[in-house]
Amino acid sequence: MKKILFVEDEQALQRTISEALHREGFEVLNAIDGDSGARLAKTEKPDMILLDLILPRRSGFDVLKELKETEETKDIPVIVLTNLESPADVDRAIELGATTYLVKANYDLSDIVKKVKMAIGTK
Amino acid sequence: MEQTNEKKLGFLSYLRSELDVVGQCRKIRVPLWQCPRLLFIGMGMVIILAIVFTYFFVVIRTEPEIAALIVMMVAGFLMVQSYLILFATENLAETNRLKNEFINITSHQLRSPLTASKWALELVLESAKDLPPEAQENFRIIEDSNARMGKLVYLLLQVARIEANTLKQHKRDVSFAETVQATVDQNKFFVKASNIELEFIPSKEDFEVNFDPEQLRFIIQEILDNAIRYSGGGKIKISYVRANSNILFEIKDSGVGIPKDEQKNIFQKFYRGSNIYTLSPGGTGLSLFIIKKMLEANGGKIGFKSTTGEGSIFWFTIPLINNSSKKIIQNKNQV
Repeated sequence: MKKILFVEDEQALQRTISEALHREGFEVLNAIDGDSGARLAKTEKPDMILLDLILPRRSGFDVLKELKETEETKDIPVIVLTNLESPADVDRAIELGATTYLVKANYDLSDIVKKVKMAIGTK
Repeated sequence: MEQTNEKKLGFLSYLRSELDVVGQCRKIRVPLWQCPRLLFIGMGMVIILAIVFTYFFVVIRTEPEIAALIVMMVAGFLMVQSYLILFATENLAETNRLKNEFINITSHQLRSPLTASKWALELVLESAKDLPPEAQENFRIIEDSNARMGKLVYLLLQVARIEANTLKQHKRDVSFAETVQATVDQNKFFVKASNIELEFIPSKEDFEVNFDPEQLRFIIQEILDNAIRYSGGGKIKISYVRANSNILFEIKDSGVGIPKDEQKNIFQKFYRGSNIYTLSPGGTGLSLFIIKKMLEANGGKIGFKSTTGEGSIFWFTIPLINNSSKKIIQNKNQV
């Protein structure tokens, strides 16, 4: 079973995405802030990470930077899932190594699941 | 000739508005004593008066100390006025910063709960097949209302961004043909339900434009949506062709049309024609304002011709990428 780490501070979003991914047969780990997200990524080594950018304790950008600089997590694909949509934010996340950048409000849940499957290579 | 007159009138009205200093100050909503434009004029007048006054004073009284004192006093006065201008400018810059911050926060805070409820509903609807039809219908109502609220937030954010000159654009090369086709397909159900005959004539060439794909979809969707909504049945014809170095998109409807005396207001925000409330009471009057700004930000244009009771033709242009196009095989579509 493929393991996905979802770093998101909003519980409602966490719950909906986790359930949708569970239904598709994924194991989902949840982190509600940047610190625990980075820690879980290192200890659990998930197959993919869904990462929000506005997070308590540490921003998603910092987490992404750390993950890509750390040997054991640098190859894990990271999908940024946020409502920030300025071109500067998109460029920064891609430069830091994000696989895909998705603006939450622009996608249905089924689209997110499809993107995850594509990124993880299960489609 | 007519165009020259229009340009002259445009220049005169621009000049009149520029010379209306108090009006301009009220427009930016700062007190007159903090209005940079008024303070600047005041400063100029003080300088002229001070020069004239000093000249006459020195002619009458020849003491250099008195002249130096006057110059110092004027310099002091000018310094105070310069500080006020600086203060006002900083105030405006700060207000602008706060406005941008507000837009960003609103964007995030309003959209997050809407996204959460949209996704939660998607999950519910997936497993709602066994529920009674009434319950399913209620969920659909919630879904529609959520979508409408999401759209309203999107429209208001776009307006706020346009006004703050921070309209975001993630430009890339987009196939125009594919975008139009996808939008037409997406609206097939709405077209049928509205008892409209839609004729779509795609070009034999595909064109690539450098545009934000979401915004291009929004533009075509909203123009088509307006045509469907305000047609009240009847016929809609969509086409697009190359026009020199641009792509020209046109949509013709047989709807209610726009009254002649209201046509000048059609691209103003929140404006809605007086004859469309019965056809679509829920509109916001924001789409055409946003569309115009999105197109203009990309070197495009929008316009229309309309006759009350007969219908309207809305058109827009977008510059092509290096005039490039590729042949596609596609026949006339009838929906």
